[in-house]
Amino acid sequence: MKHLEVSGLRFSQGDFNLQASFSLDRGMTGIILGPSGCGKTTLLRCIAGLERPDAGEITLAGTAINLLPPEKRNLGFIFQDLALFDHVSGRKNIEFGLKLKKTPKAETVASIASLAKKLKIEALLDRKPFSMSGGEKQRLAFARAIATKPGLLLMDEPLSSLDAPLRRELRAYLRSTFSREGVTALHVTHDVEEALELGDEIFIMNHGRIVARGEPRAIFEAPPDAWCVRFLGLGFLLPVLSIKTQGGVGIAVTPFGLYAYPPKGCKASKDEIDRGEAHLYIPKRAASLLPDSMKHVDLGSSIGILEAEVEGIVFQGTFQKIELLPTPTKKDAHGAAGPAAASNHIEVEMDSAAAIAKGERARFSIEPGKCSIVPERVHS
Amino acid sequence: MRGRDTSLLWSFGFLAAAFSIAPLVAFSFSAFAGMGKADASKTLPLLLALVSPSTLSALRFSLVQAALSTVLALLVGFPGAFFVARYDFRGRRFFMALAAVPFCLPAILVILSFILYYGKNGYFSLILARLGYGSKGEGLLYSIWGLVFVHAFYNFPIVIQNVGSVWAKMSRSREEAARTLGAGKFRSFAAGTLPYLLPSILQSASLIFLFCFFSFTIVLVFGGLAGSTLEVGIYRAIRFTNDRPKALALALLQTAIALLVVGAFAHFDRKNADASKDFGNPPPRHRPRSFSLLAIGAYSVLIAVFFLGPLFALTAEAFTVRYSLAGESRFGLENFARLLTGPAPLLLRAAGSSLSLSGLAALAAVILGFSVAASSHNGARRGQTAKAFGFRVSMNSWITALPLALSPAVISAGWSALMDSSGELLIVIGQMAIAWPFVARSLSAAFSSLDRKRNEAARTLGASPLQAMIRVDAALIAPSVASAAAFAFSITMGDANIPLILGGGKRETLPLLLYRLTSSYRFSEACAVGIVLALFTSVAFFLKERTHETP
Repeated sequence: MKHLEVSGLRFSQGDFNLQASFSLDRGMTGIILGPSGCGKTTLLRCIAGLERPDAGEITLAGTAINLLPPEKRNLGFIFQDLALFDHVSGRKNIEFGLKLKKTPKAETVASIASLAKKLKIEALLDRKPFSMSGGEKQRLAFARAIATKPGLLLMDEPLSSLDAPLRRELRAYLRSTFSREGVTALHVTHDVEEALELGDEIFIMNHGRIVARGEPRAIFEAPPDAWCVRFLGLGFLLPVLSIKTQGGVGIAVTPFGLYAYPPKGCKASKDEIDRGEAHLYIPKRAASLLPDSMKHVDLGSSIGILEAEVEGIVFQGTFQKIELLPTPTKKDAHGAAGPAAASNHIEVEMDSAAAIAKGERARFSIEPGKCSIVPERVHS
Repeated sequence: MRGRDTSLLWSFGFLAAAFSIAPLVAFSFSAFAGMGKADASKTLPLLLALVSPSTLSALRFSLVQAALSTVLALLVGFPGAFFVARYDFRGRRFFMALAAVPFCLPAILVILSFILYYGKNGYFSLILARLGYGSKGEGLLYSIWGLVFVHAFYNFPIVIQNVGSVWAKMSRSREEAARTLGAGKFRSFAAGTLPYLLPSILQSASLIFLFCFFSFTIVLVFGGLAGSTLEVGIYRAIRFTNDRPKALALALLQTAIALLVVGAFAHFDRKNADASKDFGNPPPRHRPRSFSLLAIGAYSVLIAVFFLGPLFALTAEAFTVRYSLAGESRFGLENFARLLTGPAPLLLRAAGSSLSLSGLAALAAVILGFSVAASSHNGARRGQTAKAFGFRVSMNSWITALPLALSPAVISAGWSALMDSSGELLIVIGQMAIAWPFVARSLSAAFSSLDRKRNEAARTLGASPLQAMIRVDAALIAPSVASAAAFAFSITMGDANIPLILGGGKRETLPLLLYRLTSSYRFSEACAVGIVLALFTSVAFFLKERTHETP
């Protein structure tokens, strides 16, 4: 039995419609990742009972909670603005939930002391939130939310207002505390880096629907559609004109050459390919620079070679980001490719040592095992 | 630069405070002068006046009626504040705009409408009689309860606007956080919303308390049998017994108490500004559904029956023509016609006087109010610390609330003593003195919402300091100045006290004409004048509402 199960949840407000079904195991951290306005906060609020869904069932540890008021659901919620009670001390903030649960005084004192020690917030107990820094407030809000040992911790982008170093620090803090305390959490964010670092399971949302789910590695290695590739910034997409088989290997025909893809690597339907709604997904790290000696060789209809003009090089520390303008293959440049060949810029990532210069024409070999054909959008 | 800014703040603050206190000082001198040289101690009569049983009973009555009125106004206004903060419904703007009533409708008009509605032959009483509750409410209007009722219904819109506008801006996440931590609806309201709302509730309460504490005309009419307030005592001492020392003693006692309330007001004003600083983006308002719709409907009916009813009665009376002694009447425009025709059309002349005097007074009030607001803004805008912010807000609150702690009767008599004359100039000065604090308050809010970054953006785009000020700051402030001017105009237009005491009968304004017609029992015509007056004040106020939400 799953710890959290959301089934057939529906919520609508004006033109916005939310539909979701998913589940989460005990002790896991689920990340709801999606662009602004996709409904991730609304989903969280529905689970917390702060919005009333039109339909659906939510169970937590086997008990249906969807008909209960928020205060009876045994949840912790960390709000985007943290919603600390500024008029009382840090201690009173943490005490609030414990008192309502009628925890005996001695136990309250003891559990606040141990929580404060574990979360390193002893110094905050006797201060009021308005005198605290952003990071201190975060820790206090976190302590307040987990003090009552909720069955599920819901977090609505609590790190979004912090600067990058502090965000990194708090991510590490949350990750270690989650695993130590065995917290089951559902965390809403639009930050991909945060999702990867904190998530045991990722739910990607768009337009009120969960469009992809799975372990971070699985999603990143095999994104379900082109929208996810773009949203997560995983790699680049080339329009697929058709597919064929050559020597038992699947080949995607694109305006920029022919590329092999692995067996089961085509997630688009024939219809989608025919309608021009399929793309070849090439991960950023799947391209490697061919040596200069290969520059002027006639490639004919070689498979897996991308020719492009280097438009820019951005140093990123351990790697470099190469901005490319792919060159259409001759045949397709004036023929079938049409507008699809009016190419977009693409980006690949390579080792910092790779010898490449801006303005030059370069050739890259594409690793077939990492490519796949994805539809424009999965309809769930 | 900072030094100059601060001294500017001080000098305008001092000027404004001096302007407020000058008439009290002048009146004190005239009171002492009146006691003559033979007195062994000039302070003795003052002290005696303070401890007399009549003073103590007036003090008790003043406090009790003001406290009860404030509590009732809060009770009536609070649900309204909740509805305008949380829901988007038809009539929401109307509820907010009702806040004009206590500022812009002269008390005499309110009295007239309450008598016409709740009085012996009033509409409300007639409906009660029809329903078989004939004489249940009779006499109630002329007791302390009647007084409290009128005060509460005169002032509750202040609660709707002040509390409602703060509530609307408040994020709901604290209340929701409390719920997810296990609190029920009531407890989560108490933990997550009430502490942040309390400053605005207490700020409104102290303002209403001050208005009721100084209430004069309404007490004179409705409180007559139940008791007398200090303000009525002051008026009687000046007007009938010419006992200026007693009037001064009462006024000082009244001011001492009022200063405590002003202190509370200034304190809560600052807390309110502090609390609402970090509210962030206002949460969305929803359309009311089922239960909330029902509640808003019930509340609207309640307000319509008890509050709009009297105003409706006033309007009906203005168009009622009585043509026989037996009381027969019909609908018609004769009440207006009578006032508009003849060799000396009363209504036109009074409207002309009102417009010119109020226009001048409002202009003067805007100039003074703008100067105070601008200088206090300028005094602390660079590198402002929390302490400096607090100090600026406190000082602003004190200066602008100070005039509320002074007896209108004494102020009028003081101005009269100060200028040693009567007439138009005095009326303009007196009315300016009552209107400028409200201008300063609303412009302070506008100044503090000015974002310095916009000015800086203009500078980086090539504007000179002067160009940036004119094209950015002035352009942003202009609508607020216009609305403050409209508000000042409404206040001065509706004021009856200043021309009554200072006018010397030379210029008859609309409120004065209203008084004269009422005292000669020409109620229908008085109502017609009231309608014209209400039109002027409400048009100005609605213009203000278009650009600004808080007074």
